[in-house]
Amino acid sequence: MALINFGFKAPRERDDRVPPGQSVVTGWPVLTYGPTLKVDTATWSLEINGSVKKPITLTWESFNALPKTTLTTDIHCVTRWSRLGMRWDGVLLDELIRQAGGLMTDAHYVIASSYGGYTTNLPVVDVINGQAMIATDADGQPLSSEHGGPARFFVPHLYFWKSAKYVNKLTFVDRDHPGFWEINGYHNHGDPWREERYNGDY
Amino acid sequence: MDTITTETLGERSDIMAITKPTSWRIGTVVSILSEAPGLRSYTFRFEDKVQHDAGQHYEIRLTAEDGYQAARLYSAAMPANGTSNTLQLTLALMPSGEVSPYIFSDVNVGDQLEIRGPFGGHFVWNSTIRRPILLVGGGTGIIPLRAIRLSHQQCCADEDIQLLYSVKSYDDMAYKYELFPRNGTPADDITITFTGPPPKGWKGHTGRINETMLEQALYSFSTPPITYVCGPTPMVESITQMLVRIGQDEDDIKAERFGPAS
Repeated sequence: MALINFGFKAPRERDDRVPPGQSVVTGWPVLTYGPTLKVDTATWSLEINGSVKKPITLTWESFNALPKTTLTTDIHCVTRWSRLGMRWDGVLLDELIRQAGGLMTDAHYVIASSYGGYTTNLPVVDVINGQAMIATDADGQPLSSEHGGPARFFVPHLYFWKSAKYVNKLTFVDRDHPGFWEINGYHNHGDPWREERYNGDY
Repeated sequence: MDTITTETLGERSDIMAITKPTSWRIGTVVSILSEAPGLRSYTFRFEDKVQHDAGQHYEIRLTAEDGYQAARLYSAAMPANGTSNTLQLTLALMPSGEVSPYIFSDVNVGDQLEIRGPFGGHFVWNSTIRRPILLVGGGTGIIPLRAIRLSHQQCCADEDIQLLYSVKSYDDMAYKYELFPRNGTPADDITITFTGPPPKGWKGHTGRINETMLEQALYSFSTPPITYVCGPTPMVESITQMLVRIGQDEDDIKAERFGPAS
């Protein structure tokens, strides 16, 4: 039973779309652990490798020639803000996996790696079936470098540190490898509805 | 408080179990220090010991009578090496926020709050980091940097450290009593720049932190430092870009951004 802070009251209007412990923001905060990277689309590439049947490396042109999808949804940051109803455009992971010839049977996790060395790990079941994309646009604008452009991983049903900025490689593996924040005290999975914030939360 | 009894080299010793960071603990407010308008340092006492690395943060959670909860993250403002039961957090008042307005208006000395932590394993400093340190802060970004500076003083006072702090005015400055005693100039390891009107007779820097100030700080070290940058997002953006431009390795820059951006 939590301690009650008498006089503290819930805001009048609560939105069902907001997970527990989150507050809605209208701006878009920036969180990056180091300097913002400037990634040039002329040299940009995206590698899909590991337990896929035909590892591929896409250039900016070949990536953008793939069919794009629009996903309108909410995003949730572990620092307790949520942004509702954003429009995101990009290429679904399902399409990228198809381009790479499909997954091998031992592909249980995906490790997203970024320019600058950031990594994050996710179960494959969290990134297939229309749940995740490599996004290039948010709210109709190309992603700025502050927000991880030219392309970032986008897995909106998990806390947003899983949506790696500046992503340039997705490696499918059979065993889990905790990434940057996952070894720095954050939860390995990161479901906002279960408040999987820190290592040790559930 | 749980205790674990262990046998160490045949000698019995009681080692306190470290409370899990994710467990909510009750902290009693023992002091409230007004640092600047909209900026206060709250010191909490816990039943058990407090230990964290400088730069780490804690969460404060409020619970309404109907069970509704809201929580926010706050940086520790002082080091805690596990010998004391107190924790100091410096809170900035966010007038349209959910948590800080309640704390500023309703929480007094003797009141209790639920707190958990520490969290964060990247924007941290501890004595195992054997490198010179450059701290660059703007506004409330000074909070975790102050903890780093104090922690560094406690263990490694003879090693190189520099703090570059940009603040609007003397009134807005946090920890004045430590960083800028009223009758003196900043300590040797501190450079301050006022982005608004400086105090009377001020002969130091004014305006935002620029490349010249960063160059002076960065190249005052005999070996490249680790740089910790903390402040509002646009400031952190511009400073980290300048640092890279004047030759600092990106991997040696740790950044923490405060506040919303567009």
